Amino acid sequence: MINSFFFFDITFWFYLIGTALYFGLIIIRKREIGQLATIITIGGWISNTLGLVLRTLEAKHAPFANLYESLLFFSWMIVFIYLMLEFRYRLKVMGAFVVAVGFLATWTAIKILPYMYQAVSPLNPALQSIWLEIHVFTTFIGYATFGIAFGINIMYLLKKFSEKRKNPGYLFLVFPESEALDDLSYRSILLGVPFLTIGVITGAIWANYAWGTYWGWDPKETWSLITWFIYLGYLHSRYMWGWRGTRAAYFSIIGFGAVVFTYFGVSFLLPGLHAYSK
Amino acid sequence: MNLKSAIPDERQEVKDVASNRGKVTTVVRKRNTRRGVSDFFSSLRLATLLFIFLAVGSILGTVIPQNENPAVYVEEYGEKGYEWLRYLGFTNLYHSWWFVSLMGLLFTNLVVCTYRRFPAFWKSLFYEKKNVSDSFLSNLKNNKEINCGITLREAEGRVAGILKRKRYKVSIHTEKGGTIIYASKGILGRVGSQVAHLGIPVILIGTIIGSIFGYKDFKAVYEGATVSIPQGGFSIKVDKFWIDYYPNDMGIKDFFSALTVLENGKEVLKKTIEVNDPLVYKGIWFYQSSYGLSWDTIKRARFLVKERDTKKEVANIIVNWQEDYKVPRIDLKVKVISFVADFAYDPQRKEVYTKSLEHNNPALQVEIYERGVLKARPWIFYNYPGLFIPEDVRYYLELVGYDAPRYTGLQIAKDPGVPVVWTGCGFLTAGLLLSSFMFHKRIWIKIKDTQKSVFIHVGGNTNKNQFVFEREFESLIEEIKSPGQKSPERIEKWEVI
Repeated sequence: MINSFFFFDITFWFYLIGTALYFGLIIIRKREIGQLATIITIGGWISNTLGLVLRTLEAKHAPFANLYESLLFFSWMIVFIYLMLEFRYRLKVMGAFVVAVGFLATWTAIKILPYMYQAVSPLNPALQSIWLEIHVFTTFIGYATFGIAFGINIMYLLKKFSEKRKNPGYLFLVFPESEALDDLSYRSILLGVPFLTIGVITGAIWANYAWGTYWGWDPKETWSLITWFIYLGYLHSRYMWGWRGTRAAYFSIIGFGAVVFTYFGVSFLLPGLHAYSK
Repeated sequence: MNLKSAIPDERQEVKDVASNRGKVTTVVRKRNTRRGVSDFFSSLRLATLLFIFLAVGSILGTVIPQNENPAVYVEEYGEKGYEWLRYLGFTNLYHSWWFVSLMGLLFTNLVVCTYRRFPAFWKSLFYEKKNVSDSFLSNLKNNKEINCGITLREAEGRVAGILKRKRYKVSIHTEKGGTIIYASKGILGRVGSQVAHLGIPVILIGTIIGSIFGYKDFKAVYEGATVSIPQGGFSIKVDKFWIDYYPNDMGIKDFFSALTVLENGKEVLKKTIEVNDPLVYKGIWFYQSSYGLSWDTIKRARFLVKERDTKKEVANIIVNWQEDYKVPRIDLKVKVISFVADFAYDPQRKEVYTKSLEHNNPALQVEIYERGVLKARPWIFYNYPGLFIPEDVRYYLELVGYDAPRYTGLQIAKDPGVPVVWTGCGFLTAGLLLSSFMFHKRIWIKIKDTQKSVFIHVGGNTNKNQFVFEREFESLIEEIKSPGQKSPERIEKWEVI
C-alpha cells in the first residue's frame, strides 16, 4: 500500500545512498559520481516531499505536530536549502556533511523512534491554530541553516587540521579552502538568525493568543532563547572582535548543540507546555 | 570597550567627519568620571557578561522546577537545600530580584549604547566619503590597479556603466589629472542593525508596562455561574461549557465556553470562546485555558452500606449533595456535607482543605444518623475504602463513585504592554532581515591619466559578508578589463569535480 511510510522509507535509502555517494566523490573524484549523488539526493527529496504531502492528507493537519513529523520536515528543509546552495555555489563536497545531517534526522525518525511516536495523532486543542504552521515553518528554516552551518564547520575543522600538517592528506585536498568554509557557515547562520527570531516571535504571538501570556519561561521557550543568545553571540563576536575560523566553528557547533537540545532534550528531559511535542 | 574601538568602520567615519568639520574630536577626547560610568554601562563587555549570566540563570530555571509547592523542593533537595533555593530566589528564578536586575542592566546597556552610537552612525549615513587618497585605496583589502589601454573618458563611461548595471548608486567627481568615481549600495543593511538593537529595549519597555498596568487571573467557573471582573467594571456569565471529542476515542478535539458579558446586569456581548479563540472586552482577554471537575462540590455520590461487624454489604445507595437520604429497610440516614478533591489537613487551623484542583485524593464528609441520632461525621476516602470506620455505629459507608460538576477554566489577562512588545519584535525582525540580506558595499575608483596611459585603481569594502564581496570585486575587475564577456563569478577554484 502506498502511504507516507512507504515514501519516507524510500527517502531514508535515497539520503543514505546520496550521502555515501557524496563521500565517494571525495575519494574517487569522478564527475559522474557527483552527478549521481545530486540526482539521488533530489530523488530522496522528492520522495520526502510526497511523504509529507501524504502525511498531511492522512493526518488532516500540517506535518509538524509531533517529533516524527517534524524530523522529516527538518530533513526536507535542510536538503532543500542544501540543494539550492549546491546549484548556486557548485560545492558538492559539502553534500557529504550536510546531506548527512538530513539523513541522520530521517534515520532518527523512521528507525529509532518507536512506532507509538510515528502514528498519526489528531491535534490537541492548543495546536489547532494557523500559528502552528507559521511558527514551525520559520523556526525550521532557522534550524536547517544552523544544521548546514554545523556540517560546514565540521568540514572546516577537518580542513584546518589538514592544513596544519605538512602532508595535507588526500581526502582533504578537494575540500574548499578553510577560509571559504568559514565564510559559508557564517552566511548560513546570518540567514538563519532572522528566521529563528521570527520563529520565536510567532511562538510568542501564538502563546499570547492561546494562553494569554507571550512569554512564560517554559523550558522550550527558555532554551530557544538561549539558542538565540548563542547565535547572536556568534554574529557579534565575529563583527566586533573578529572571531573567525576555529573559534567561530566551535561557537557554531555549540549553537547547533543547543538547537538539538531545544528540540529533543527539552521534550524528553524537561517538563513544560511543549511536552506535547513528544 | 567603547564607541571608538568597538566599531572600526563607524569610528573611521567619526574621524572623517571630525577632520572635515573640525569639531567632533575634542568632544570625543574629553574624559571624566561621568564618561567612565557611561563607558562601563555601554560597553560590549558588560553586554556579553549580562548575556552569559542571563543564559546561565535561564538554564538553571529550566532544571530547577519553578513555583512548586515547598514539599516538592524538600523532597528533591532537602530542607537545607530548599532554604538555599529560596534565599537565592531559585524557586521563582525568572522573577527573582537578581534576574530582574540583570534584565534592567541589559536594558540600560542597550539604551546607553544606542544613544552614544547613534549620532556618529546618523552622520555616517549621510556623509559619503567620495574623495579618497591613494593610500586609502591601497590600504583597502580589495583593491586592484589596472591598465587597459583606453582613454580617460572611455574608462569613466565603462566603469560607471558597469556599476550602474549592478545597481550601485554612482557619483562621478572630476578633478585635475583624473576622475574619482564613488559607488555604493545597501546602506539599509547598516540601518538594520540599529533598528534591531532598538527593538530589544522596546520589548523590555513593553514587558515593564505589562507588569505595572496589566494583571493576570485564573477563574474556575461552573456552568450558569457569574464572575465579576472589578478591573473592567463588568461581569462574565458562563452559559454553557462543552467538550468535542475526536471519533474512535482519539482524544479531545476542542472545548468551548459560551460567555455573556454583563454590564450593570445588562447583556452587552455574547461569544463562545474555545482554545485559541479568546474573548476580548475592554482590553481584557478571556482565554479558554482548561476545564476540570469541581474540587469542593459534587452532584451525587454512590456508596456501599456495610455492616460494621460482618463487613456484609446491605445496600447500594445514591445520595444527592447536601440532601438527607434515608436508606430503605434499615434505620439509617445519610447526608453528604462536604467534599475535597485532594485531601489535606492543616493541623494548626484544624481544617481540612484541598491541596490542588486535581482529584488526587477525593474525600467526602458525611453525617451518619442511626435512629434519628447523629452518630458520626467521618471523612470517607475514595482511594482508601474502609480506612476509618467510626466507633459505635452499626453501619459504615464505602465511597464507590461520585459525580462532580464540571468547571471551565478561564485565564483572564490584561496587558497593555503587548502592542509595545509586538512593536519591538517588529523592529527586531525588520532590522535582522535588513542586516542579514543587505550589505553596505562601497567602491571607489580613481582613474588617472598619466599621458602615457590610463590607470584605473579600484578599491572597495563592505560591512559584512566579505567573502562574497571579494568574488564580486574580482568579477568587477574582470568586467572592467574586458567588458561584455561572461562574468566569471560562478567559476570557483574548487570546481574540480
